[in-house]
Amino acid sequence: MKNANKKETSSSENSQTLKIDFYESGIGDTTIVTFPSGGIAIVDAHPSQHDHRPDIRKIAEGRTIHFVCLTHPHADHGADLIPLLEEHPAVGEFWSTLHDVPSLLYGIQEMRNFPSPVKEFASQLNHVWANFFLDLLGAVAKRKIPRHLLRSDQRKKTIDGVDIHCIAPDESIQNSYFDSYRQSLKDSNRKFPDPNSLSAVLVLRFGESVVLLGADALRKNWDSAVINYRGRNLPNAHVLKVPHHGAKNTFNFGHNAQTYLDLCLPNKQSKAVLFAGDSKHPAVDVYSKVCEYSELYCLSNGTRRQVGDSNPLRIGILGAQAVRTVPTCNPAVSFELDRNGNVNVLSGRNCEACPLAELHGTTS
Amino acid sequence: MTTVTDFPLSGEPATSGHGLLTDAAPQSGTVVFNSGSTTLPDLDDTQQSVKLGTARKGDRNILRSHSTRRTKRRLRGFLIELQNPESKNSQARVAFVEDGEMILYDLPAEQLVRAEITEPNQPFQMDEVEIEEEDGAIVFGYRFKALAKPSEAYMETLQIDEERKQKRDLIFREFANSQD
Repeated sequence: MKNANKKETSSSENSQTLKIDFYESGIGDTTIVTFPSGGIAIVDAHPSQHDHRPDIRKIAEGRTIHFVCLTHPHADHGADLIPLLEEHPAVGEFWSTLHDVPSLLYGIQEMRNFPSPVKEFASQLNHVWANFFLDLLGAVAKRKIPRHLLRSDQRKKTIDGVDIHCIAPDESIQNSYFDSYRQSLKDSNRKFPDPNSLSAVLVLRFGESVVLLGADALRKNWDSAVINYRGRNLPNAHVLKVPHHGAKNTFNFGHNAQTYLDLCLPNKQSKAVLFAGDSKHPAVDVYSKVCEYSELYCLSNGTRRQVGDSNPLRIGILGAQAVRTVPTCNPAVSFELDRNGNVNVLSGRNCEACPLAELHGTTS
Repeated sequence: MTTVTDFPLSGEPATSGHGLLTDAAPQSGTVVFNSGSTTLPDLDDTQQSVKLGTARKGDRNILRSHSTRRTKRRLRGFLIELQNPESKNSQARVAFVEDGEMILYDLPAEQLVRAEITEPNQPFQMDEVEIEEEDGAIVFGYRFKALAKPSEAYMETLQIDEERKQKRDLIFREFANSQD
């Protein structure tokens, strides 16, 4: 492994457990995987506006980063990967689903705008995205960090006895995204495809223990991910990162439809983790389903009472609300998994024990 | 003469099929509706007198009264995204621009979609309209108007700084070949 620093300082060194830390991350996600011998992987990272999460550099300090994974090209999943990719001395690989970077690179400089007095503001928002993308991939390019393309037909990788499977996106979805993206660049009337469809769904298997990291995968991703999961004969998951902040467009409510919950242990034997630091998330019906099925731990939950003025512009339309800070349910949720399928909760409380959930009546 | 058949019944409680008021609504002493109508006639910033259609439940005969309406304020912004556009509860994330600042809001998408505001970055204006009826009742409504049609979109090339231009060129070189 390139640049690998062999010194490990983690307390979990040689613990023969797999540790997963989910940190409250504002509107985004941060997941840290600590392998049995102490090396780590970062799957998405975004800062917390509450400062609950230690600086990402502190978390990774003195530890080998086996890989940094951007599950899909959205800043709420990758903003805090940049300092690691720029500065950390031991980043083994950069994982992503971006197989046509030149097209994306061309596209980020081209935005669809409209003649109006507010067009400069629309440009500003697009600049944020362009800068994120350039800074992130610029660091990978500058340091020549080895890249690994994620796709469901790739073989599993094994790190420290932990098998890592990618069960989404399928090649067809990936190709369709980039085809559509290129078409959109040529035709200003054509909509850009949804980057969430590029979400890498990772499955970590350590003996009998399984962790399912759902990124922001959409319903169509899950249709094939369920098949891929079964095809790899993976046992049902003990831990789930609920996809796309609990959004409705990830969940198939159809009768007999298979969803990500069907890949998890039933009857609340599995633990689900929700990042929903935005007033739109989670969808209440998705939240209810996840609560019925699993033991849910929220880092934040947009259905709870929020902080700040809900309507600074005093708009009298039912449902109109300013985008605000969502209060924290858990600063961090951490699990330790052994080879036998035992899961130990190191930090965090579930919705049944959460006063915020009880207060606002959003438990199942 | 303008007919506004989907405007709420004058003087009826605000919950009669047009939704509850938010805490931002004007206070007591006024009769307030949250119609969000996009079928109001074009209004300018000056007070004008127009005919307002009113209807009683189950009675499609339009009663007309002389009303005065004003645009109380006009907000401008642009659409960031529509979420779950296929759903009847679709929401829109928008940015309003006030005093040179962007304020992000989530709104029910229905009114924007009806006004054909459907494209990311598409600009719009939202008028808060006050209608005073003959009997002194005051009705508030919101009217959305696209400031540009979807077909008016153009491709804008973002100006990136020198440092990022160098990064861009480096990425092009490093990622020129497929990763497969």
